[in-house]
Amino acid sequence: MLQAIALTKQFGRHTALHALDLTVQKGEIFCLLGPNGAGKTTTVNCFLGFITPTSGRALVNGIDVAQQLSQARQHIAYIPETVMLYAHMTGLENLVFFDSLTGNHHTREHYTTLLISAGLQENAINRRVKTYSKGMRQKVGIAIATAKHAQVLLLDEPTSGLDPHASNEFSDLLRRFSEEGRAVLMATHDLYRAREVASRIGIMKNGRLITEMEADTVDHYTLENIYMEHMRTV
Amino acid sequence: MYLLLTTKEWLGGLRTYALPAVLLSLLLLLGIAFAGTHSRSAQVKKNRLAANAHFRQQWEQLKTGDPHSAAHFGTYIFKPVMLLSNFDSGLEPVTGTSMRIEAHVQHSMAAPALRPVDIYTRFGGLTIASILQLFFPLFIIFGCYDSYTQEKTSGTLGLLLIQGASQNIILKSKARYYLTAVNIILLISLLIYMPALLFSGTSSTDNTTLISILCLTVAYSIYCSIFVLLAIVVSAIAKNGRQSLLILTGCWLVWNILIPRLGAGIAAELHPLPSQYQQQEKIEKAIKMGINGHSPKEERQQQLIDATLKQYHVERTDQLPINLNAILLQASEDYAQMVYDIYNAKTDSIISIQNRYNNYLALADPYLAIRHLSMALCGTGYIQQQQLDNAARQYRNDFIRRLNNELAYGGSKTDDSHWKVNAAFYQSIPPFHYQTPALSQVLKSQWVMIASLLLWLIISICLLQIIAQYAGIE
Repeated sequence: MLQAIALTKQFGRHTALHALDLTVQKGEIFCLLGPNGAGKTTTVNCFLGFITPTSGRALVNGIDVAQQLSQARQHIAYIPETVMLYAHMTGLENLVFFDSLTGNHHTREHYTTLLISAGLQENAINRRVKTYSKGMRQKVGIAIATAKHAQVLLLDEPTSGLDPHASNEFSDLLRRFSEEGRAVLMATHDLYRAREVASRIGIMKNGRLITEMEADTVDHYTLENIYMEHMRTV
Repeated sequence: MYLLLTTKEWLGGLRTYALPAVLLSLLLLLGIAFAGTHSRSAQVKKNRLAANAHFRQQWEQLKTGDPHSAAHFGTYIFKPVMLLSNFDSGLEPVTGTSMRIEAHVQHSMAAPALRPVDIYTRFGGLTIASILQLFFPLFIIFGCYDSYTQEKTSGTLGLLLIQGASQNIILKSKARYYLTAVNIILLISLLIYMPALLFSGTSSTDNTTLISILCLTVAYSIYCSIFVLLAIVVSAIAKNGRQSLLILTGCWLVWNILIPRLGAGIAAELHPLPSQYQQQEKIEKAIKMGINGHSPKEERQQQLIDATLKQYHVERTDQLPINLNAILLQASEDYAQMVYDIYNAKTDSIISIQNRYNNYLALADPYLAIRHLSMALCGTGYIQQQQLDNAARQYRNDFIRRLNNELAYGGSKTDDSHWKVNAAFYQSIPPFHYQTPALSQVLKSQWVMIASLLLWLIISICLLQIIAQYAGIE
């Protein structure tokens, strides 16, 4: 589903990604952990086609993102750290607009259900987004990603700004995606959430994937220790 | 997808009140300009009608019976008030629209004032044209500078791309929206103020005026579209809105302020015009001493007296059947006119070189192009001024010649101070009539300006096409 082959990205003299090799299979939730500047977002952006790798390949469903960008993007749904929407439109209008771009056309009721499932209060659905909190925008972003029915989900700190209840609901949603056979790659700082939802966990540092583990082989405490240990070493 | 993206833009424009705000601001500015120009032109028209009637009546009821005295009395002629001069007053505030006709005196139109080329490029008064040429592009810049950078910096661009919209489609949708919105605002403004101009009663409307208005609308639409497309292109390549705004306002400054002044300055520096005083001094000397400097006025007069005596086979002037004084006066007029024509030709050639600089610059500056084209289409441009000069000079010469010839051959004798003409003679001299150049002639004279606007439109479209392929999110 998702494959990085010797993926390298340089910004001038700084190497953000060092020949990253990574695979996320169907139904798998892969959480990338690491400090700021570790290369998590760069990895996600390479798969999204927002940045062009200096060398190596990023494949989505076997499609090389650099070669066939629009085809690759058809298989991707994306939730950024801060979902930015059009402030002059309502939450529902934003969802209808962004989903219509993919060619989907559903009823108003369908979209309303999606927004409620994502955790947005019913009375906020028809309010302009300029009145939304960050968490509410995030929920619309989740609804947009859900509506696309993409086989690959790329998430960059998606629970940032979500309240604990919404975060738990989001974890449930990810599990559902996994059960549906979708591949999920999530960059996050949230060790707890990663341990809760991930199938596999990778820790990145200085643009390298320094360790990788099955999530069910570690508990929260062990994961935290491993993480801290890696952060201490140069 | 185009429809979706364009609808989203329209929704933004209307819900944020950006479009109504721009429209209302523009209408307000145009309203102020219209009120000012309309009240001024209504006053001018009223004054001109009264002055025309007054001077004509004065002329037809002249007390003097001596045609040469009448030539000294002279009269005034006026450039007709052009209907569209309310839209674009062009050169009129600088060159004026009235002139005095008088014997021996070459008025400013007969001998055009030495006008430096920068009179065409300085800021004029607040007219509808100046607002559309100078301020509307600023509105466009402020409205469009953030069109793409906002999507980039706010993060919506990423979501748009992931949901299937390509950069190409996003940019072209924005171009469609902004082009449509700007042209609708322009059309609404023109639809409100053009009929107001047409029915304001300053002059009659004909088909040529309507076609001129159509040409003006197309020209301004192209001019504004150039700014829209360039603003979107800059917004697509700029890192953020601030950078985009800086680049665009820089372009506006260079095009609308710097190049017109710099170009005029360079032209005037490289091909300077002589001063009015120097020119007049040379002309007077040439009239007195002859164009070659070796045939003084007295000698020329003596030659003419001898030739006339010989022609009529008489020995003394009092034996002539005609009035020799009038013949001498007309000969003096003809010689002076010849001298003026020679010096004017030199001046005109310098002005024409300076104008050529402006033409070349207009290829690099759509503001210069629309400015020249607009004033030409409104009947207040250089071509109309030149034709008015020629018509006025022609009228003046015919006017004086007719009076002198009446005195010379109408029955009076040399030194006969009792001979008189009646009022019917004065009435037989037609009033000044000025025929404006045909629209085709005007458009032909403005081909460089039309080419410049089309060239910049094509450049903008091509730039948008290129940028649409390469504009990224990095």
